[in-house]
Amino acid sequence: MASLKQLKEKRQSINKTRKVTRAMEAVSAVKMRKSQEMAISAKPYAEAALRILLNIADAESFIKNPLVSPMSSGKTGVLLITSDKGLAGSLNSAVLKKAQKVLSEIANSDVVAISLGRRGNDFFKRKGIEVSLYQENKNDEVTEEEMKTITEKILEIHLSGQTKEWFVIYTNFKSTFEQDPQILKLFPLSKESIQELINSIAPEKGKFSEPEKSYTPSSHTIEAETEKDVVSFLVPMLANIIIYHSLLESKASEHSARMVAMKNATDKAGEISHLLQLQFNKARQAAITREVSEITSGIEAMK
Amino acid sequence: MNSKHLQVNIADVANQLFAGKAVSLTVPGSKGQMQILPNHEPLISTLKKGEVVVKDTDAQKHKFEIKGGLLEVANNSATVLVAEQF
Repeated sequence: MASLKQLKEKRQSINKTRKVTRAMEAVSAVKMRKSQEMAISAKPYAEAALRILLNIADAESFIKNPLVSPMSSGKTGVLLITSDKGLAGSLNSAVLKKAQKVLSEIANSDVVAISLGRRGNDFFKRKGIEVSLYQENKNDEVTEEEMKTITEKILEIHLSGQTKEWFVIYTNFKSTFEQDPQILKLFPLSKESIQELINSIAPEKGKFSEPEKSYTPSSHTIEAETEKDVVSFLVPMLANIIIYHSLLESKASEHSARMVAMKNATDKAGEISHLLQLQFNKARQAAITREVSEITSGIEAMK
Repeated sequence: MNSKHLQVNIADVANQLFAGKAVSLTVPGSKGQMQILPNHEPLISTLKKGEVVVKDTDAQKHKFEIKGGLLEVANNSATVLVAEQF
């Protein structure tokens, strides 16, 4: 049996760990709230843009847009959104598993990779895939500006004809306890993928969920000369929105996953600390009993 | 469906800037300034740099400077998407 001192020290160190994990839990809870709010305040914009696009999806200039029309040959682009830091349960491994699934069907040389977040970058490195653009996922308050670098890079690669399709792999925030890794087809854009996006924007449960809305497409008057403008304006903008939104979702997921992981760690630490306390008490009692019996046997011997 | 008011939403990528009922909406359309009144026909148009003015039901004016964007009018609601570039 471990000595009294060892037990005491072990318990103390566990208690310290518990304090840390508890603090991290609280911090993550606040951050989660914030990222959720950000995702929500960005929602009306995304919704409106998607709705408008859906309404003009039948227009000729939409179908002919290079970002919409399918391409027959080229590489596959992947934007992988992960967190920079760990301690978030199975969050990153789940995303990476999804990515692995996509990549297993494609030769390494046929992949154009962009990673947002260190974990994803490490993943590509391990696989020996060259990363065209890597951005850290540190800041919690992401601005649209920062996203533009990524969007522009993707558009540049795609429009140059190098890639035939683009996927965004990220974590969809469903609720505090449920996050789903998801693969989203970014390009070529289609009516179905737009519809899908509209549905995926709202969280299913929790404070910010909303009942599903249905949109009735109506025919719009678009001035003939501006129709092309509208399309060439909306489509790249939409790409930016999708990426921005995926990032916000990933952020909210990261923080809630970390919060839950830290809560579990705090609970477990409390449990272990309690067990150690019991063990410590037993050991102390044993030591006292031993000492008393030594004394009494000493007295007996002296008689 | 005749209504006296127009539901106006103005948003940029991160925030909703205005949401509410309005009497009129003036926007800098890329083909010239235009005013949207209630019961306007469905319309989509791009916007250029200028000022968006919303006159709400209390005749109060709300002004927003934009660098560009997109306007959608449908079912008596107008949506202005503000964007950095055009």
